[in-house]
Amino acid sequence: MMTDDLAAPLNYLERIKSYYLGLGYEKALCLGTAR
Amino acid sequence: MKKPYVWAQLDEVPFTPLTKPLAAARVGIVTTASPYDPANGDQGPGAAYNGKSKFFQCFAAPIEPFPDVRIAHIAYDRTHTTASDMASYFPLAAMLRQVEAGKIGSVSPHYYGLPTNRSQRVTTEIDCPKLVSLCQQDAVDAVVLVPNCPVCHQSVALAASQLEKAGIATVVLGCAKDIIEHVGVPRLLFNDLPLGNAAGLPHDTGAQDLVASLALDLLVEASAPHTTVQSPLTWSGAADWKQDYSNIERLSEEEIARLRAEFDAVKKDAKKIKEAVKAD
Repeated sequence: MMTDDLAAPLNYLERIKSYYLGLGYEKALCLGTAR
Repeated sequence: MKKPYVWAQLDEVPFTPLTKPLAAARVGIVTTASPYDPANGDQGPGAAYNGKSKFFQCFAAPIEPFPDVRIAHIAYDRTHTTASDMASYFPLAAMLRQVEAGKIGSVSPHYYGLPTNRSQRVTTEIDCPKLVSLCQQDAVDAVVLVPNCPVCHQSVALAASQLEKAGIATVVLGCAKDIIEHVGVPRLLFNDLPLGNAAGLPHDTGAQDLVASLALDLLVEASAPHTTVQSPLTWSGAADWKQDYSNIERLSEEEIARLRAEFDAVKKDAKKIKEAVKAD
């Protein structure tokens, strides 16, 4: 379960990755392999 | 096998100091918002996503008469951002007040539209060089870049890099700190507010003036790239706004199915619009 600290800045990269994976898209707007 | 999308990350972030006193500097505004055109349907405030108002080429438009720019084509935080106050995402009025206050010399006679684009190649090879040229034509000394959606943040971060290489100092006003810092920018004024409010709280001139002032200070005070300053602003709406944006855990199976169908439809429309633009 993703829990968020409301005081910390929102982690958009992780949030978007989870969202699109959850919708069934692997390619769209996921964070790829980190350099 | 399809590869997942990889967000841009700059190995080196260029940095240009402001080359004249701030009080003499000409400052330009770069936005991913789009000029309102009634022919493109509902562009808000509060409009659903409207791909018809999306633009695909960099442009310069006059600041007089006062522009009307909207963000209906952008994935800002529609749950919490009303987009009812343009000044919360387009800081022209605030910058003009900074001129009156003597903090900056002038605002550029044009503002600049930067397309938001997942294609980093298009952004860096086509849009950014055009943006640099437009800013140079207006003899801009510094630029404030204001993104709205997650990909907008990437696009403006890439643009900041090219502007700096061209000798134009930049500061990004952003709400997605992680995206901007992942790409790498010289200067970020971070507002911990829902997407679509990077220039300050809606209907709050004091907050918008504070953001403008802090951003301009950063132009002078930053001495190295990757400098982030956070404004003291907190969201004036729901305290738990961060729980909502693209949070898959908050969605039922039915909502997920609906959103997937909606996303597929948006992608089809976007493709048609893009092909129509290419054909013109």
